[in-house]
Amino acid sequence: MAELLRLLSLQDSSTRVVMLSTAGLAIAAAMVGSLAMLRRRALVGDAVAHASLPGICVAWFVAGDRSLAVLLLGAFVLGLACMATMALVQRLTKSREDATTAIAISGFFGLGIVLSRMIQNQPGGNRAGLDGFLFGKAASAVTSDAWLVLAVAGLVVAIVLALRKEFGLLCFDRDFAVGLGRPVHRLDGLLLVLVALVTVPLMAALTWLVRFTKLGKAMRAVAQNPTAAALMGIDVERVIGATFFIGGALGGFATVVYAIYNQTVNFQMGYRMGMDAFIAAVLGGIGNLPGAVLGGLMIGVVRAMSDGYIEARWTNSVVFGILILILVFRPAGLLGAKLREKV
Amino acid sequence: MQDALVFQGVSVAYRDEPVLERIDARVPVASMCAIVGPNGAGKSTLIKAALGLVQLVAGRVTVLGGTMAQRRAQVGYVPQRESVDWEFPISALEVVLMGSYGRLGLLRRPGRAERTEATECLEQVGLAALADRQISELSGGQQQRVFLARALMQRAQLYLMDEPFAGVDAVTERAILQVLGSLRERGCTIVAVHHDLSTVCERFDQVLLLNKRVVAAGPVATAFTADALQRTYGGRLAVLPEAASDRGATSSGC
Repeated sequence: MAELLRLLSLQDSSTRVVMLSTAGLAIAAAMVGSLAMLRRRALVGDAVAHASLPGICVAWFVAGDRSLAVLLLGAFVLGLACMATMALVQRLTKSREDATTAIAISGFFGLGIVLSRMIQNQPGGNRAGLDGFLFGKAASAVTSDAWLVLAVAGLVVAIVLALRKEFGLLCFDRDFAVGLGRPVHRLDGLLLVLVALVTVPLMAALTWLVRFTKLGKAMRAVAQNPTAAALMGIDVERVIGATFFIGGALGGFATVVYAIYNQTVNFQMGYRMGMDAFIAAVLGGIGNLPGAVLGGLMIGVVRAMSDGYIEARWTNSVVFGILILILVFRPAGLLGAKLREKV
Repeated sequence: MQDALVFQGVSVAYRDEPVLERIDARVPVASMCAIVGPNGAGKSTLIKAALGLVQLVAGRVTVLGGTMAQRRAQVGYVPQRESVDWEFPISALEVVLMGSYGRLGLLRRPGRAERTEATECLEQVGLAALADRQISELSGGQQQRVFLARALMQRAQLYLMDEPFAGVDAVTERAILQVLGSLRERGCTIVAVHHDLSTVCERFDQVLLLNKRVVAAGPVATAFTADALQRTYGGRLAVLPEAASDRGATSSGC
């Protein structure tokens, strides 16, 4: 409790800097995010976030360095590559923008998983604890990293404010902007760069929470073995509460995005999504993050196929049928993680 | 300088599909020209080709005696009403202010002078009272007039309009016509995609009959004939105005 008070009253200088930088980042992200949304590119940030995984891996391969600046640079470069890919696919084929985004997300995230596996399988002492290093050494680097993040956020805010009227015009009426002789391609590109600039640090912040804060450590400890965690003096109930709080907040965020995307809200809209998420997790393997992603993709494809080729009213039966088959024949899920008790 | 807008051998294709083939046409200064043709004839594409919104496969567009890039500041554009998202969080006045962006450059913001001018433009189209309304709260006709006010704000010499009369009521139609008339008195040229064949004669003095190629072009009195209409619309003669079909194949539709 005393620790919490100390945290909330900002007595720590590093806490103040971190708070300041995350708040700055949140402001920048909100500004860019609303522009991206109005430009109907709300999911681009998501694609970039997924592309940052291979980016971090590549940066690690190339530089062999684990400083936040280098890793973020790698993530940023691959984020740009991801957006360039989307633009290219968009130009060469007739795919819709959301389909293009989906292609980019799955492609780049898949690449990232392969690369991170390669890093983990590398022989030698260098690989030791890469998991922990993926986003920099928090303990020593927090303050300077936070300043870096704050500077990036400030830059983004300044650019958006300076070009506010141009972005508004571009989002509202692109043809008219072309008619005025505006460099719309460059403005569009700039907007995407801004999305990349705010998405990558935000994801790093979430990972940082889980990996390096006391709360994150406690979460992982409780997940591994609640009893042992309690014996080590961790308040298990509080950690579970905090985890559910974060999960709920993320769920709320997802709901807002989903509702904005579909432009409708109803009382039961979360039910089916929840069931699908559960089935996806079981299909991929409970407690296995890549498995959950794989399961989610498969469930999505199965739903679309079933809607198209069988009949929409059978789709739920097909999906739940898959759940039953998995539970009977491969209870550990496709990626076969060992079943373990989870909070 | 005799012609406000000249197309010379303009061809446009979407992918491999030709949309416009070797368009040759000229619109004299201070005239009102209707672009008429069936669906898919390439009417909107012709407007977009003039503006540089689509790439030309061949040919050249001359605007007010120069290229589009040189004359951009003197060309106003009224897109189809459906081309934008009317749920966009923006007020009518702010849409009109966009007409001044061309003059302002990338970094300058519209100031008091621009706001005053935008209010005047809204007044001209009879919407001054609705300046602060969010655009989704406007009716279809009012939205069309907001677009017109934005074009006025551009202070252009040549106005390119994509169906300015589509889906508007009699009041709006009169308001738009009045504005277009006063523009023309000032020496401005107006080129508009138009769908209502029965009103071509009373509203326009030039006509361009289009069906992927130019079927007929020139003053309404000579170009807008039943014969030309039949060649433009093919067998669908039922859509012709009675006046045109009654007077035989060679006489004017007016």
